Amino acid sequence: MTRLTVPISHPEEVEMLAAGGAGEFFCGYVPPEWLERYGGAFWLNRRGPVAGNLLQRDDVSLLAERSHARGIPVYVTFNAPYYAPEQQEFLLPLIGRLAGESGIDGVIVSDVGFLVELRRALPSLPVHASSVMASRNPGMVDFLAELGASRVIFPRSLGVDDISTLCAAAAGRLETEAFVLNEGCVFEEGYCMTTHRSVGALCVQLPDVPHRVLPLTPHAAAKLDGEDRRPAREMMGAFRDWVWFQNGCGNSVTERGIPNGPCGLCALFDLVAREAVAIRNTPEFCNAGYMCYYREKAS
Amino acid sequence: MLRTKNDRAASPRDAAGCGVEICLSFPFLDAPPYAVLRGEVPFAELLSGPHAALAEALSRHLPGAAPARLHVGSDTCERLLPSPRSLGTWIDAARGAGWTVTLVLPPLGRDGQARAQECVRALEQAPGAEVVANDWGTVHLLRSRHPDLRIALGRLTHKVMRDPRLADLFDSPQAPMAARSALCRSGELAPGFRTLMERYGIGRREIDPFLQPLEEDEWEGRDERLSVHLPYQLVTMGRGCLPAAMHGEGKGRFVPGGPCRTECAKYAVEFRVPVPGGNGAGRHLLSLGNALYHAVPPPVSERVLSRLPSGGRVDRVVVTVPGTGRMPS
Repeated sequence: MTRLTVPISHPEEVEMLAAGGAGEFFCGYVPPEWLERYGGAFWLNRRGPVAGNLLQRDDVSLLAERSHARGIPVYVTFNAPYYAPEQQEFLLPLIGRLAGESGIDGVIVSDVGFLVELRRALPSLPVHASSVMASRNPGMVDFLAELGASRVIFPRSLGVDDISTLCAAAAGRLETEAFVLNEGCVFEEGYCMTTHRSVGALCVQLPDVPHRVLPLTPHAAAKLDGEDRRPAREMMGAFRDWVWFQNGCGNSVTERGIPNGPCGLCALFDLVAREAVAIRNTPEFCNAGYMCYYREKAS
Repeated sequence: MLRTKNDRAASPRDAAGCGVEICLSFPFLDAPPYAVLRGEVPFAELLSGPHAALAEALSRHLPGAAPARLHVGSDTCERLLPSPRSLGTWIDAARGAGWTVTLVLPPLGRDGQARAQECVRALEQAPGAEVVANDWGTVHLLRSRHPDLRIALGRLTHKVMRDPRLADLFDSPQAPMAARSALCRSGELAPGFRTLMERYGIGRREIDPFLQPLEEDEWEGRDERLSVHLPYQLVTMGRGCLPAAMHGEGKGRFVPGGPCRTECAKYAVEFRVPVPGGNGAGRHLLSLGNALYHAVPPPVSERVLSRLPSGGRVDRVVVTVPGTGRMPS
């Protein structure tokens, strides 16, 4: 059964999102102790250092209670690319309390070692492999199944055909999840460990900083002064456009409030359902092609 | 000068190099560097220009060291995976020069995994052969089908904060002690990761020359051997490829796995990003293929090399040579 997985930031959003068709929620939780230890320097999850996260465990409990009353499960994300050993020691009992006392339905993780530890410490708690784990091949599906993960969330760099292959590999062993909206990184998020802290996103910054094309061979040096001079300039112009589209088309939204930027709605025909293309209704952006997750399917 | 026609007989595993092996990586070459293998191009000449200081530092820390291993393939791009036939050419060329070969596999997709297995079959009979895997799915696949294969974990699997804009601040005395520690290490010493290393029989991990000084345990508190890359620290890897966009058209640009004329072998793009509190000069990032790198300054190379050869874990230095012209800084 296909469900819409929706991010949520506050218990007050449950009713609205449930009425909108949410089939399950995921959220971040950053306890005060984490902020005391790490400030904003080390994000507990990829949702941000503070904003977008729940900060009190009571709010997680309330969110779970309200969601469960509507039959909606809640997953909490602990998907930093890695956790140092002492961070894992801090998080394991915290997750235990979220599962045992707050009633969450599972967690989302990116650190493969932490996945192993979670399965050992809390064997009955479902664990989803975050897109940050960059699961791109059938071997990774086998790896996750052996470790006892219950779901694989595909990275945004995969095409529809790749996803189909991996879904077939996962069938009967792992649930599968793919993105269709938002997230504006031009890099492969599973392999990008730059920080947005203080300096902003590197990918957004690059088109606006001084740059130059360098030849790597004597022959290329000659071509860069000749026939490749113009393509090199056009490459940087295209890069600027691409980053703009990936970064939310200037952080704009549609008249219906749907964020512009990275989007896979037109691939829902292949992923799930034909009708979904009409949801967005922004051909001026879609037709540019730069906004699509699944660009080989772009309309 | 570390390698000349005169010193080519020196063995890096014995006296020369104090037991530290030098490995050369040519990720963008489609044919073996015969002149280098024959000793016609001195090692120091490969590192001339902005990296001359690195050649000098290698010579000083590892006297007599000479390259004796080739990295074939790319850490980041599946397109640069050699065909089994091409790999055979590299293996033959290396063997003829008394070198050994490491096959480097980037994070692989479904088709890439199939191609990689063909390469591994071609590689398996070569003496001293090993594979660098940059994703755990490939580790799992290779170990299940090749129980005796030497597998090293690639640098992309080493999860440590990498940001040349801020890395100097990670080790700031003003930072909370816990944050400072977490930003200067990975999670690889935690029990879960140790379990995986043991389960999959991983004997080697590749590591970058991080700008922030890694904690001592990150180097020495592990069982596996370490290969350290120089002079480029990997910063991040793209979904699409910037150089490939040079001759791309419209929507076809930046598509993962999209059209490619291996422009990466001809061009790099250098960016100068501002550094908070810096002197305005900024810091250089280098787009090589689909990834961004930072050529670390001499003090960082010096800090890394000063561990050698006394440090117990690092026994290999991997030097990347991106082109046949002057190496970019």
